[in-house]
Amino acid sequence: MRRAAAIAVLLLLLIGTGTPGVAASSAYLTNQGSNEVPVIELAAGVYMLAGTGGEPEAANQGRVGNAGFVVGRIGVLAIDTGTSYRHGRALLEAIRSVTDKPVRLAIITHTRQEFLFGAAAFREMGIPIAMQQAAADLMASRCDTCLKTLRATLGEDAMRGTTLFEPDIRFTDPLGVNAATLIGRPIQVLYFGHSSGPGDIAVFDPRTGALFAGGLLDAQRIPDVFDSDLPTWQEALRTLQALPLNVIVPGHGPAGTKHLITQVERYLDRLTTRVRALLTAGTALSEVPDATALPDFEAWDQYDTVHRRNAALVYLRYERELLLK
Amino acid sequence: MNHDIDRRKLMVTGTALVTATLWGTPRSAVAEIKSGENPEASAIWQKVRASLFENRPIANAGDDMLALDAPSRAEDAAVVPIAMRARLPHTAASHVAKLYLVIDSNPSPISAIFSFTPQSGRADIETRVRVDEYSFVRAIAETNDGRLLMRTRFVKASGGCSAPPGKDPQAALAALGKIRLRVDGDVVLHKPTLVQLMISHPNDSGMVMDQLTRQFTPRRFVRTVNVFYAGQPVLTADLDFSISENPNLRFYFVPDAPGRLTAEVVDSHQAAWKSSLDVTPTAA
Repeated sequence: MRRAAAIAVLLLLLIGTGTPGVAASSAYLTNQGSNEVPVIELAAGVYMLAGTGGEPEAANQGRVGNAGFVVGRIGVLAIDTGTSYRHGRALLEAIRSVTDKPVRLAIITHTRQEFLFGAAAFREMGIPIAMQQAAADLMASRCDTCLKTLRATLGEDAMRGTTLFEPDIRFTDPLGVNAATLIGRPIQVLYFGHSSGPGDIAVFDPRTGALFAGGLLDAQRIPDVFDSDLPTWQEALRTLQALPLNVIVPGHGPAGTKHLITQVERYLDRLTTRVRALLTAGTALSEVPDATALPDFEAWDQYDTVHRRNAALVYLRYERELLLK
Repeated sequence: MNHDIDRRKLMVTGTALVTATLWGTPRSAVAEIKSGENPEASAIWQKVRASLFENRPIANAGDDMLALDAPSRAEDAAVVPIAMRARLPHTAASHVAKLYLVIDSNPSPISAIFSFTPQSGRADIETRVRVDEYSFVRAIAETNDGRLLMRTRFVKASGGCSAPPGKDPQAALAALGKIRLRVDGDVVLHKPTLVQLMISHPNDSGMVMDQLTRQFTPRRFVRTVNVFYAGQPVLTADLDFSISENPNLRFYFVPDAPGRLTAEVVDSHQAAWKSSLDVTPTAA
């Protein structure tokens, strides 16, 4: 708790100076190989539980994504549940190190393994899990395979107790999640339609202007377009730009300000413009990943993998559009 | 016709090998396939080799004779671009008449057989395939006088959470068999011209279970593609369900006069589609 608070102060200072990345990387280092999750207080009652970034591997126990929580007058809202049963337990312990108030609800922002599979630990404590309907459907349709792959990558020990689950609450209308009543603090669940993923949501705390962006935003990391509908995603980002946001917890990478939105917008814009030009020029798919090199984003996490795949995916989508015209 | 024999072989081999996937292979062989160290040791390859080429010698080719372009680590296991490019002279007297594409670890390893004519100008083809995790990928060129050359590459394709969000099956069905032919760059008389052929087709392998409904999507895929220029064949493709959704072929033909480029496509349900493009080459 003391250490976490110190990190938090450091992080906020650095956000103020516009270099949030530095603080977060020092926080990330402490997470390597240990079971403890770094707790970062971003605003009054708003906490980030920092992931390591990178690709899931044995060394980081697959804990690459961020989670977080908001403490209300009568209870706590948990945002995302981690990679594994053990990670879920560690997140709950981190919450416990800050507050004794009960966790009343866990909401999952999007259908990616590092945000989902800790749910068993929450459910074991009687905490209901809420997911957007389309996110729950996507999970049911593919996460059997993800879990097997993840188990093979991280090993039986790290994944013990991790199971597939059914969310307790499936919602289509964000107002269907009464998080505010449950914790005694205004909370808004934002759903933009099929944006970065079919059931991706963000959680907004209007009192502090804090946003948990889930799949909609990554920081200093290439956003993955695999599950996305690009035009709707870009539209959602414009909507986020108009909100009174003070601090943003991205799905991966350090917390930041609205600058995170601008950076992701810029990346998507550059990616789509470049790929469309390649398709028009008749470039073969085999050449597309190399030809889509974007040096401005070279330093971002997953540039060598996800960016190359993004290029191929977007190319195939535009090609399909051409075929269906 | 020679072509019919190949088709029979393709089907017989395909059926025989469907069960001989990686899971049915002895552990030592799996280890060798995983490491990508010994292409000749692949038991599946030995079976495919016997069925396609019997005991005929197959020479290992260098880049000067045959190129096989494949990513060593694929971006997307469902759409792996593969190019086979013969570099031998392509004349009426001497040319590469066939290119075989074999993917050892796939359920049906013989993925495609492409036949060329002197009017093709080049035995050069790029397409996209599905690759199950890791596999040797082989290009075998057969010259018109019966010589065989081979290139082998090892491809790793990461599966992960590989199922994308559900597509709209209604829209896909409505567009089934839609063909787009495209000729790139300046079309010059007597010069090999690049063609891109796209076919709207799900190319369902019949081996993918919808985890939501617990049903297998029935197998339905593009079996043959015949392309003619001014009535003369320039490409015949015998394809299998290793080919990715929306089959895409890039290949060459030589226009000796203005003419019509025609593609005929038939799938495993005997549905047939046709598309044409008028081409007017300019003098060099």
